Amino acid sequence: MNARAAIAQEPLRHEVESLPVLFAKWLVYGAAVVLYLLPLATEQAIGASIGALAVGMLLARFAHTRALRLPVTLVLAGLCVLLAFVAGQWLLDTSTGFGSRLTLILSDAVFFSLLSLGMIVALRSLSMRARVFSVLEVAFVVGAVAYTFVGHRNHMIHRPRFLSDWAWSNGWDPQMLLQAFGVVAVLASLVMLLRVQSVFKLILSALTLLLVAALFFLYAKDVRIDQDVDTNGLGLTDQEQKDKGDKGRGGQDGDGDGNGGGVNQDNPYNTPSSAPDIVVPVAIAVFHDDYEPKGGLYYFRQQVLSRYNGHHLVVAGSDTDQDVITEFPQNETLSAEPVQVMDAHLQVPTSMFLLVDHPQPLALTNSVSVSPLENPNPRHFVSAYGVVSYTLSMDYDRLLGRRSIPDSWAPEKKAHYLELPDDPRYKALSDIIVRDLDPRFAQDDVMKAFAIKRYLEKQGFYTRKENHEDAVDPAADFLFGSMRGYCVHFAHAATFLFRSQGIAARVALGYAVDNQYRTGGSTVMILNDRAHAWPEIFIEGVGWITFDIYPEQSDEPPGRIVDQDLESVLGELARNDKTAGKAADPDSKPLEIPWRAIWLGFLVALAAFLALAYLIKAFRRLMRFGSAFKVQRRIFVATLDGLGDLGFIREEGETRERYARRLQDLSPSLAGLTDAHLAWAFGSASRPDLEQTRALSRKVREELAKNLPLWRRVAGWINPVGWWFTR
Amino acid sequence: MFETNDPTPDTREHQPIDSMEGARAVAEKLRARMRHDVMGRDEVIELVLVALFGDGHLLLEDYPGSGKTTLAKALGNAIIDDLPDDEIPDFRRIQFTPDLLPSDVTGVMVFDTDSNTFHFRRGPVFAYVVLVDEINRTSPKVQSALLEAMAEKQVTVDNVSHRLDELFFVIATQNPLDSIGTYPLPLAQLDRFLFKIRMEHVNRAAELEILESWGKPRKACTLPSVNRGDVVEARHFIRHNVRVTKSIHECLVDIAQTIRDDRRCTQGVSTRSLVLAIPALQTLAMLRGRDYVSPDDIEHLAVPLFQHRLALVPGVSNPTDIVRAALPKALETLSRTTLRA
Repeated sequence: MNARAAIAQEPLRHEVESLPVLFAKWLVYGAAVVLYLLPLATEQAIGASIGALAVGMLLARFAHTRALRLPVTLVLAGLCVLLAFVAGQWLLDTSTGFGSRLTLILSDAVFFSLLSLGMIVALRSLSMRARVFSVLEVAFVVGAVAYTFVGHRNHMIHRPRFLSDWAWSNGWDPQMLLQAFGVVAVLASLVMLLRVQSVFKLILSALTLLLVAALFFLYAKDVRIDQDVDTNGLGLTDQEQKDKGDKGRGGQDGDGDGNGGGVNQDNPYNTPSSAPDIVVPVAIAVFHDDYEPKGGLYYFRQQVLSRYNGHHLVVAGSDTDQDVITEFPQNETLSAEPVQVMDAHLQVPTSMFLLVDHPQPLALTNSVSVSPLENPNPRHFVSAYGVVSYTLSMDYDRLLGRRSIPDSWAPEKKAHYLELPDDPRYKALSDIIVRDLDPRFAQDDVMKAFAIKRYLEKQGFYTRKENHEDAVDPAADFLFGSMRGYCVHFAHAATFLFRSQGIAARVALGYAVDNQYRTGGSTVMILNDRAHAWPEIFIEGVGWITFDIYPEQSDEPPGRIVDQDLESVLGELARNDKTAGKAADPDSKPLEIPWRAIWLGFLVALAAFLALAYLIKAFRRLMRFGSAFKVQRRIFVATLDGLGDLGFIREEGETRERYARRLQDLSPSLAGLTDAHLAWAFGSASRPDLEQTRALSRKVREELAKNLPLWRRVAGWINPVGWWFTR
Repeated sequence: MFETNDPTPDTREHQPIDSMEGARAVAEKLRARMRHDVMGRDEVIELVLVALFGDGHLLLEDYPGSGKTTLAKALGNAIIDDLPDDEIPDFRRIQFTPDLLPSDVTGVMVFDTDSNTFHFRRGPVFAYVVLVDEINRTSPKVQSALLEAMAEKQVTVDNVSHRLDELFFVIATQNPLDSIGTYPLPLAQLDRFLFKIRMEHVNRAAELEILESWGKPRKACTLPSVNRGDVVEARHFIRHNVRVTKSIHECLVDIAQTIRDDRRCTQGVSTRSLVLAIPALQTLAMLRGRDYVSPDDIEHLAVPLFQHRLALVPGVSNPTDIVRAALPKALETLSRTTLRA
């Protein structure tokens, strides 16, 4: 046969999906389109689009069976999309006489249905022509799900609202639901890979996949999905962990990689030059009592830098800064050096819930104790602890007249907190700043500090665009240069200026949350873009106080309003409310799925199925009554059942004789038994009598016993459904 | 006015065939004779037997020198003419050429000066086994003259019909490749052949055997031959004694329907083909020692029975696939009936 003839031998290639498969695909497409259009279109438009999908699928099928050329189909689909835009706009532009509301609905419906029509015709035609384009269909479906649920990333656990609200109000974590949705989306997208197949196969494959997916889901449902690289438990040494953690934190102020830590503690200047692209909540603070900060800012401190390393300030050794708790409490409360004057402070107890790992606990300044708390929701919170803080309740002007460094300080301690770069300009500048002070306050440390603060606030320009990183002394480069920089520069410059005037100062790292962008409530959500560095000064008899610089000039956009809904959801989760405050009745029980009953029902159903199957098996095997014709048939059926149990099944379209020939080596007598049966069935005049049939059947059984290993036969006895395949 | 020239009726000098074994013995004798003369063609020989006892005709599509004449001759020689009076020979071969005329096949009226009347002189179709070589090389006129003989078992010359022998069996051949200057048989004519068999080249062993036996003085075939009357009687016996159930009929109709519904076919199989199929199926069942037609017989014969009767859409050239594709569903239905009440 030559090549041309070989080509001609091929059957005509107009195979298309059967209608049930097409229907299944339509359902999947419809669901995807609903997801896509829900935020965009009216209900009427969505309905019309789903209808258009059905029409489009049938049209594409029709075009395919009529062997319409693919480019023609695609051009027609493109024209349809074009028409969608034109017709939608035309309806809006012309007065149709339906009134504005109806016109809008009509235009919407026409636009989206024509768009869907064009799109589906193009997609279907492509994928029917070449299998590889099925990928586009899969992408369409998966894209719908991803598009809908993309808002849930980055701890935005209250999105998408329609799903999350409902889930929370029923006491379910939407994350689980979304994982389930993901599984369903994968299954649904598999429907898109179907070609010409039977519905039975579709259902069977889908059920199998569903089972696998359900098992995986059960295994993975409590796994915390997080972008953070958790360096713990990777077998790293302490040093490596530190390095790795530092690297992760390096870009915290800018790129928002989600890892906690705020400003880079090793080199605070080494921070990117723009605000983080992705704002994620890093922690939740729940106040036990009403509390509003005096200056409108909550300072959550994480670490302080007080030792000068020749370039910038770094974390000092463990014997200094003992008022700052830098370890997480394991089992017992950790206490810090107490504040000196209690009546100058307000005791504020808070509970902190970290959403992102931090190397040190965040705590409202100035914390005196950190105690362990039970994590109310390990899926969302990485750690929880209680904090007792003493915040300064005294007005700053009441501090006037106090000295910074008490006499009781040892010289080393004094030197430590006054250490600054070997640069006379600091002292010279601070002298100039304090020179103009009222002579009455000329020696007052607090007054000097205020003067320096004012100077920086007036002269400094807040911008993230300059980081002076390459300078030998970035603080000097900032202070004696452009005066343009961000919190780290201001904090360092202020600290060095304070120190040059004999005021004990250090830089605190953490988050500063502005109360004015919140809407109240006892929950404060800390976002990663609130990372901050600020100076602290020591006042004799009061202790370390926050002494932040607020530059008057800035090119920063105003802060974003905190998402109140997310704040409240996280707050309620922190308060261990399973419904995240979404249920109308706060005491209502979350919806429980009766897993036990479902399992029990499943087991009972399984047991009933097995019992029934074995009953039928036994009945068919033992039943021997009736006319001679029936008895021979039942003997034959029992033999076939036995073969079916062992997995020897007659194939569809295989004649009984061919089946017997196929099993010739296994059981030579089967051919004889088959002939006997066929002689009965096809009305032979010389039918073998029942005794012969019985003998043949016995022989087949003996041959099977001889030719098959025991385990195979035992498996056959156990098999409950072999009879199902007898036909 | 028609004048019929009937051959004399059967004389019954032989053992009457009244059992399946008797019928089978006749067939086995023929099979043994043919196998003795033709090597490596067992499957074709079986189909020849099926066609002979199934009262059909055979179209062999094969290459020159593949043994078709030997086969036909062997069959003709194996049948003993037990009616010497009718002057009908066992075997005739007609080579079809473009210049052949119908009368060269059927016979011709000859004027007899003694009696001043026209006499009919029989043509070569008056034989038990007729080998029609290269049937597609002659004009449609001659082809259709042969057709009447095949379908009606009679020839008409000058408005007078002459009956052929009841055992009239045509083996026609055509070359599948060499189609220049031929008159391909139209479907309507192909439809009258029971089988079209495509003969493949014999296998290596058989070919070697043929070469070895060539040139040696052949022993005369000592195998028993059969009487013409035996064959005819066996035919009758098979027709009446091999059971064909209704389910078999349904299966045939199902297959025909599926083939007709196939998009690759512009014309499906005819009802006549189903009618012709029944005796063929019965014969195969008999050859296999059964007195009933089973699904296996249908599976075995469906391709040679139906493949030459289909008209295909352009671009499709293999009818075998279409017939094969029609089988599983119908056979499954048929097989399932046996377990049902």
